[in-house]
Amino acid sequence: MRRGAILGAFALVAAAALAPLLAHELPLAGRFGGELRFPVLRCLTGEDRLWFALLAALCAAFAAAARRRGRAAVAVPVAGALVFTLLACCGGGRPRLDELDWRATRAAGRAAVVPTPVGFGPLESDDVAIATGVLPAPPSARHWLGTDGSARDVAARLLHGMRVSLAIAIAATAVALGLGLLVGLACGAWRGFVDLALMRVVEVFLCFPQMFLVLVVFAYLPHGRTTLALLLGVVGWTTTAQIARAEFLRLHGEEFVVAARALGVPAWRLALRHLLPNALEPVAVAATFGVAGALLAEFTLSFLGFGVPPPAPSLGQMLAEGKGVLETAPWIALLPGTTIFLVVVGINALGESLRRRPAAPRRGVA
Amino acid sequence: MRAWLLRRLLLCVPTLVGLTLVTFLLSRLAPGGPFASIFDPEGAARVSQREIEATRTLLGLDRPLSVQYLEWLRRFATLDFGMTLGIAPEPVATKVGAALRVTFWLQLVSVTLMLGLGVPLGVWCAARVGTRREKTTGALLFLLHCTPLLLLGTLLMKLFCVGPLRVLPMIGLRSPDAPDHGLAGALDVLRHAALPVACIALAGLPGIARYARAGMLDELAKPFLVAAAARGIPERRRLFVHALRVGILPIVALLGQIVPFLVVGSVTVEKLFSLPGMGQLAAEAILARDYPTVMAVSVVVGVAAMAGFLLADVVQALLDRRVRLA
Repeated sequence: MRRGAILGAFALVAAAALAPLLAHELPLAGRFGGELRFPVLRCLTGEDRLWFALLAALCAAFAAAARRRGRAAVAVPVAGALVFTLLACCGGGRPRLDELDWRATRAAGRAAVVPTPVGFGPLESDDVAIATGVLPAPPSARHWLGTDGSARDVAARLLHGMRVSLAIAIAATAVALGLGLLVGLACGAWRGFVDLALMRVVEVFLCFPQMFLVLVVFAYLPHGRTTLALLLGVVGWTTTAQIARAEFLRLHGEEFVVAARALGVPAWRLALRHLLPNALEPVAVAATFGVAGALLAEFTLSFLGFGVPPPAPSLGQMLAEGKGVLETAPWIALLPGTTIFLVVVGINALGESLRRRPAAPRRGVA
Repeated sequence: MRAWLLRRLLLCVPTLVGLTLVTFLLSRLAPGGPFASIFDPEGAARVSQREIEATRTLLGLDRPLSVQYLEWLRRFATLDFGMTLGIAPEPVATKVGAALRVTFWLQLVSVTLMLGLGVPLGVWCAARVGTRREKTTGALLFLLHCTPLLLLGTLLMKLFCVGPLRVLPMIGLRSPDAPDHGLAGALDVLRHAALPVACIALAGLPGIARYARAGMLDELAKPFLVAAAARGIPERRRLFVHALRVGILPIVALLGQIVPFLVVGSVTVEKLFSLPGMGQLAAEAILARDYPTVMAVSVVVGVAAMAGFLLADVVQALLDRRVRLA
């Protein structure tokens, strides 16, 4: 069951990362007037490519991890890494008119087209759905999950919205991780006054309702993705700091640290090469839970109207819009939350199994 | 005990100064200054520089920051939070007071429900640890823990506010046609509050249950409870009288985090169900850049957070005499 949850979440995350290949206003491939073109690939944005690069890195990491399990286990991730690297090198082009209007072009018999599975982009209003006069349109073969009140495809918006949420959650966790490790390292390195003062700061942060803290600071800052990620990170660093501090303090008493110090290893080297690698595991577990927490927080904030600005797809905004049509089109309000729920369950299950894993052998001792 | 309490209270003073100072400075550092929104940006060309200067003098914005801070603090101490910014200004204190009342009752009921269900559930899980039923409960609690509050709220809404089971109102705190007082009025408010309360209580349940379970597990392993069982003391008494006394300490420590919520409210739930509470007030003031309201709300919440911390410490000291010596 746990394995299923993790795999399901992984599939959803992968689908979100590959969103442009699954839902795009341009077709994947087509023969336009005798010329074979790949409009989606040609028109990938910088962000799309960044996601592909990330996936390639992930595949490479998997390949490295599966090295011991033989050639067959390595082949798939290596192939994935290659494909994603190739994909990350595409893009930069502009869509042409006959590609944007591919439905009409195909209907006129001037093109043979392979559309994306969903077939619509996240910002695209479907004229056919508008013409039926029933908005939001219920699920159908044309729109798997129906459309919203502006005739935009819900599936496309879910995929692309999920990607926005994930980007913010990952960035926020990275910020929290950096800050927390820094503070934890400082506490562990200069115990005494620094430790005492920093821990008081952590306490104040902990007792203040976090969502409220984020909201208040939002009042004084410009709204947007970067602010959101930074703020969620700045609010979330306390757990990492506490865990890192506890680990550093514990390690300080261990023999290999005492030995290293006796050998004259400088303090910074001791911290970076001996303490940090051994403290990373519990911190990584906390970071896993952190991503889940950041996802939930981003969902709430975007529902409250502090997320990415409107035309861009955002899960929270979908929910806020869907609340008004809960009676006639409940899927619009329920699907974004369900997606987040599935991903959060998977991530938390992953965190739990990481936490229960037997301790890895020491690193950096030799 | 008295000396300890006094020292604990004195420790609050620097925090309070820090809190007000940060709130004040943040508002002065905000883009365009605290009153940017009353100088209509589109009409800026029509307002002469002299008029702007005159307004600044009138509002005291030309004085040094330290003087402004002290003046603001003096007014705050007398609960004079100024007027809201916007088309129809009204005293911030009235607005905050009304919102505070809604949130306080809503949260009090929810938190009581949450603790009343969560603690016994945690105790039960600890007493039956390892059985199949306990494992299933644990898995369900884990799923509930992962459920976004918004999804929970929307699901409840879908179940009870629309469709065949339409028994509860969807939004607001009162029906427009309901009487203000009397049994009918109270019933109306109850019907409106049912789903939000259920939402908040259910969302907090897994955390409380987990804390109670962990605290109790530590306690149940101790020999004095085995001895109590051997003496033939019934299980219920062993669990809820002997073990819970210490096993509940982690929950008491949580009180410090719960009390501020009596004042902040759940922004999410209040927004979802359109309840006129503090969370909704804060979110709207922030979106409208209504700084006097934002400042008032954040100081009130900060004070509540400190009070929660203090309360948790005091209760913990009362339950566990060792803490007092520290």
